[in-house]
Amino acid sequence: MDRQDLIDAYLDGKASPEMLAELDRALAEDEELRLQFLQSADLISDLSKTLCGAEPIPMPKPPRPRTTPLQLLTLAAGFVMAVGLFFSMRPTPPPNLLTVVQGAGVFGSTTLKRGDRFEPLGQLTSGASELICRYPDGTDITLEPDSVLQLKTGATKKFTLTKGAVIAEVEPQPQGREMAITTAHSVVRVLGTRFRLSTGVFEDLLAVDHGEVEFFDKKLNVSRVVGPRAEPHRVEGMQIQWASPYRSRPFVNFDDLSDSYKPKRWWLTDDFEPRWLNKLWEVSPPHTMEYQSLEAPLPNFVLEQAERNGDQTNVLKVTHPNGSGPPVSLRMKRRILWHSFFLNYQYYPLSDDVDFRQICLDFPDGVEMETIFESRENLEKADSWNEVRVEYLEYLKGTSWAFEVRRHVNGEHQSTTRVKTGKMEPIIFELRSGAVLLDQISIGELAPVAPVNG
Amino acid sequence: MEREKFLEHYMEIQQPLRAYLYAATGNLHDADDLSQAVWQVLWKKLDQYDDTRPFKAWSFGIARFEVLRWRQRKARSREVLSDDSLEKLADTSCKFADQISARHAHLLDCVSQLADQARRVLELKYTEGWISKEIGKMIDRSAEAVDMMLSRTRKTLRECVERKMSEAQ
Repeated sequence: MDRQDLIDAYLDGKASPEMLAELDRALAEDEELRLQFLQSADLISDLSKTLCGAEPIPMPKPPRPRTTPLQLLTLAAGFVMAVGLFFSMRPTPPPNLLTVVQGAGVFGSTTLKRGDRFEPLGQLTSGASELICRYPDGTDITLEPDSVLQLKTGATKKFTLTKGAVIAEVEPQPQGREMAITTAHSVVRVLGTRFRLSTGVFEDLLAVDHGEVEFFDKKLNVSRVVGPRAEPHRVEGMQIQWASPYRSRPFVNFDDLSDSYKPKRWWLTDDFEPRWLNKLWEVSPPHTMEYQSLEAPLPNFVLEQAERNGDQTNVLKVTHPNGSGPPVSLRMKRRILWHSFFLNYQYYPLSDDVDFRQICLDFPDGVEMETIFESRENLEKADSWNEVRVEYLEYLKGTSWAFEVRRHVNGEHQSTTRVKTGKMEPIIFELRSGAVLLDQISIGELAPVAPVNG
Repeated sequence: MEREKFLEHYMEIQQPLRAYLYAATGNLHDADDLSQAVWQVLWKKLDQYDDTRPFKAWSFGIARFEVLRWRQRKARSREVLSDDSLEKLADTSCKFADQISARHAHLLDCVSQLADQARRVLELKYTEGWISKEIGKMIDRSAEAVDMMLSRTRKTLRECVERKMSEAQ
């Protein structure tokens, strides 16, 4: 195998450990190869953008069967008759234009408003509100706010969802010309149904209202038919069961959430960040005073003043007299203030093959939550668990978070610890309860999104 | 540094940076995540940036750090390149960033010269993200034939870009 083949296999994710080791050795020794490697990576990483800017290419046609002269004659006669019949009985079919029936948006560089019609070939972007477009056959495409859909061809309903979410209400489509929506992670094919597909950095979420759609997971290379009330599909990780306690999987209960505040997506992953093991809750100066009015009896909380690099910091150490127990880490990023949710979750021992896992949740207002299951050994000490109750409340004078950690031992509720915060700015929370140990909260600064080249 | 100047500098190194991150991770999604992380660090540390130092070296230094952090997270779950190779890749990327950037001007030209089917297969693979097996079904070929076609097409593109680079000099 030559070196370019090695590079190609690596960039295509198909390199075996031996191939990787060979490539690694060669890269460490040869700068020319490193440049060749970088140029190959550059070529592929740039191709998608370049291809988007190139002229569209028709799909290759499948090979046609051979036809005998007699068949040709019969077909020709049939064709003439069919054409005559068609034009004598039917008006010319309407062009396959999309009509804006609600909302506003941008198609290419043209601003769209209600009633506008356009050829579905190009980029469609919604603004701050929903944009609903309708095909002549009655199929509705609803682009949720701040979403981007690439309309691939004028003749068939094929799209690429590059950002946000789309709701499709699809009239029955001709066989072989099914509607398809592609994202970075999956492909959804549908003949006639109503569903919602959203795309994110890591995976997609598909929810089917009625009918059935085929969901093809690109990464796992598996396809499955998804119907109404099916569990939302996640690309990564294992399934979260809607199950009773003592199953060998985590249990997540969203019943207390209002319908408008269900998580947009949730999944399990095996990522783990060692920094979440930190054991301090630090509050930066602008928030110092907010934490001094903690509610509830907190005999195990110690508030310390600390000074670091000239900045005063409050450190809240939380300990529990019962010693160690199954640890849980909870991280929240909070970006927007104007929604409320209430979440109650529990966890249970994981299966034997699980090492590190986390539950990740995205809420409609941008709140993200990740729950770490830290080590198998600890989790296998069954029969004890923490129930973490998180409230996000909105007050007239601001917003507030409340954390309530309930300690259960041998299945019995033993203690409850509650922390309530005052008004918050955009913030990143990191909270860990290991043996009812609340750990770290750090203030995060939001950064703008990187510009898109070209 | 002024924000406008920063954006200008960033746009110049964005593609070589992404190429380095892709080469380092072997995964376009990871490369995109790291690009975003690098951008955020650059933006946050902008006030600390000494503009008498080269922006490129500063950015690649931060990218190198993000890659090493990524490697620490991933090393347990899958095979990744060694620290030594990753370090040297970062050096080479920084050194040849301008050359990598210059190749972009020729790529669109070269793509437009490809046969329709080759372009379509590239698009299915790199724009729409289909795997070879699925592409094969669409064009009535085996997955191996698709892989072969992709390999040949990439080679054609590399040679075309090289030729145009030589002609431009």
